[in-house]
Amino acid sequence: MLSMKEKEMIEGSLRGEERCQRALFERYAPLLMGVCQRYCRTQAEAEDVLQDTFVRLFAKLNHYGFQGSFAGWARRLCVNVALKTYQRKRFSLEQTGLDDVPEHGGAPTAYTDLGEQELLDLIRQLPDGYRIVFNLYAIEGYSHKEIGQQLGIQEASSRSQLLKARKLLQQQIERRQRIAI
Amino acid sequence: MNPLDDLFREGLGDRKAEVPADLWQKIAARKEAIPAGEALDHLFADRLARRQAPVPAGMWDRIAAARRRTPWPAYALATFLLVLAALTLFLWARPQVPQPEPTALRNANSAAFPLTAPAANAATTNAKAGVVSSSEMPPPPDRPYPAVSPAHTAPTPTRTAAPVVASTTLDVPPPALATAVSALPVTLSLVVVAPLPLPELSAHPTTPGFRALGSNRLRGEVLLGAAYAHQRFTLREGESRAVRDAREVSEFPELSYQLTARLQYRLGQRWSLHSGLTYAEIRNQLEYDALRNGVMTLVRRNNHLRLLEVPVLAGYDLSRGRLRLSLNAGPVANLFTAVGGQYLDPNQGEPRDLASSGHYRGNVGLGWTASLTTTYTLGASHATQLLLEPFFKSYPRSFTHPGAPLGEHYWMAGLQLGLRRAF
Repeated sequence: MLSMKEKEMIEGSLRGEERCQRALFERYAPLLMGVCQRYCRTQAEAEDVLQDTFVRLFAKLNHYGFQGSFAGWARRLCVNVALKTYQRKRFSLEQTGLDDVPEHGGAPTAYTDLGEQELLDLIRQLPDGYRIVFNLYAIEGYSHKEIGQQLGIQEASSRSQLLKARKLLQQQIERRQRIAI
Repeated sequence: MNPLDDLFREGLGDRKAEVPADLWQKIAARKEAIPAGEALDHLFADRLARRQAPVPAGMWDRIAAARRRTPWPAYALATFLLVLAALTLFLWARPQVPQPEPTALRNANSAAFPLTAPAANAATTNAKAGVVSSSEMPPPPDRPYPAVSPAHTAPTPTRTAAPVVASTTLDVPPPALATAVSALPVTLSLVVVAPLPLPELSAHPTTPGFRALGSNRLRGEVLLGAAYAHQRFTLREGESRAVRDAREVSEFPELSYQLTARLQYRLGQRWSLHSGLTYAEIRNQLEYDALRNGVMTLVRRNNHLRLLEVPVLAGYDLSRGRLRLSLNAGPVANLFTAVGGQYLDPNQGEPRDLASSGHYRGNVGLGWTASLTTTYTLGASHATQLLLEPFFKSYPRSFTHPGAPLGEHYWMAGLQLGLRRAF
């Protein structure tokens, strides 16, 4: 449910009022930056995706229609922009196996002590395909069928990428924990 | 053996240090089973799903700048208005057909001419050899006297009178000279001042009745231009969706160009026919990341489609004069098409070669084109013209065979510059 202030911001943005657009940006940019950072390997890429997301958000704001959560709508838009950017700029023929994943360089930590930044670092070290599928399935809650449609891959490929992503993450956490003990 | 070593060996060698009683509990607590499957997902989702990150300074300015970057509707409107204004200007700037003079004025002239006509006629006749040949034109049926171009009447009476006087001295006996000379300025001033509408010769030399076109019917023109070529893929098989998606995100248009050599044959005052040979190159860039020596590297390659074709255009002059505007349209017969470059196939580990894929036609058949030519005539001879020609070209057929997994269509829009020369 939108608060009155959010509704005013969105309506003002639809009328082209820069004050409202800026307020909308300041309210949702941190959340969307968090999404961008999960999908992009570097901070510079994340910033580019955030910029494209807001450009598109203001252009498509009339499609929102005040139905459901604005944060959810903006987040889906952000994910779509990230995927498009990934497909456009990072279309990769890499055949990265488990052995190619670099050793984690973080401080030794038991998994129960892993904070947001450590978890984010673990995700960002995954190969592109694994990272995208893991984000979409584990965090955004997409089904394998939806992921297949979004990325133009088979459902089985999505499942396979997810399993490999999980295995890599487990290995990395275990390695940290072993050192910690 | 060092006695110091012995001392420590004997004292500490069999020593068993005390193990803290809670050490195992501590290890067991730390050595919890690492979550797997859905539990691992929850570990990440719970902590990252609603995570907020600091936004870099200046991000709003970047967004504001990016939003201002592509005002396509404004560009389209500006272009439309510009073309509309150019059309209006050209159509209004066409040579005006003289309006019939008011009856009162015509009567006034008729009244004036009986008095001045003999002298004027004599003056014109005498001046024929030395001044202008306009009096050789037969007078139009509704005009009592030969029309003289405003350009020809532009000189002052004094300047015009000089040759007349000179020629008069040959024909008129000396005693009559003073009378003739004194009468001429008056007569000539009447001729010049008289507001004679002079439609026939006041028009451009290419007006009806002065068929200067004969030698200028055939002209050669050469044009070179840059263009944007829009690539569009169509799905033919369900399985090719992944290929289409991969190609759409990995291929980007580059500046294409075309070179045209053609002949223009004028069919009349306004219509013309253009045909010749056009070489066009549609250029795209393929971009992808490849893992090379363990490093992700951005690879860029150029793709091209080379076309040789024969345009057959009908042209219509929208305006006349030194600066002209013509509309051309017609079919383009493709003679030959060749493709070069690579594309990404998600099912393959390496980029595939476009030419050896066997998907592309050697000839795409007929297309069509339309252009708006602005012509500026150079020099006094009117033999050379400068051309500026925005054009649009479309190919209805796919550049790939019907059996190929994807259809590939193009349209082009660009601007050509060229020269036209009369033979």
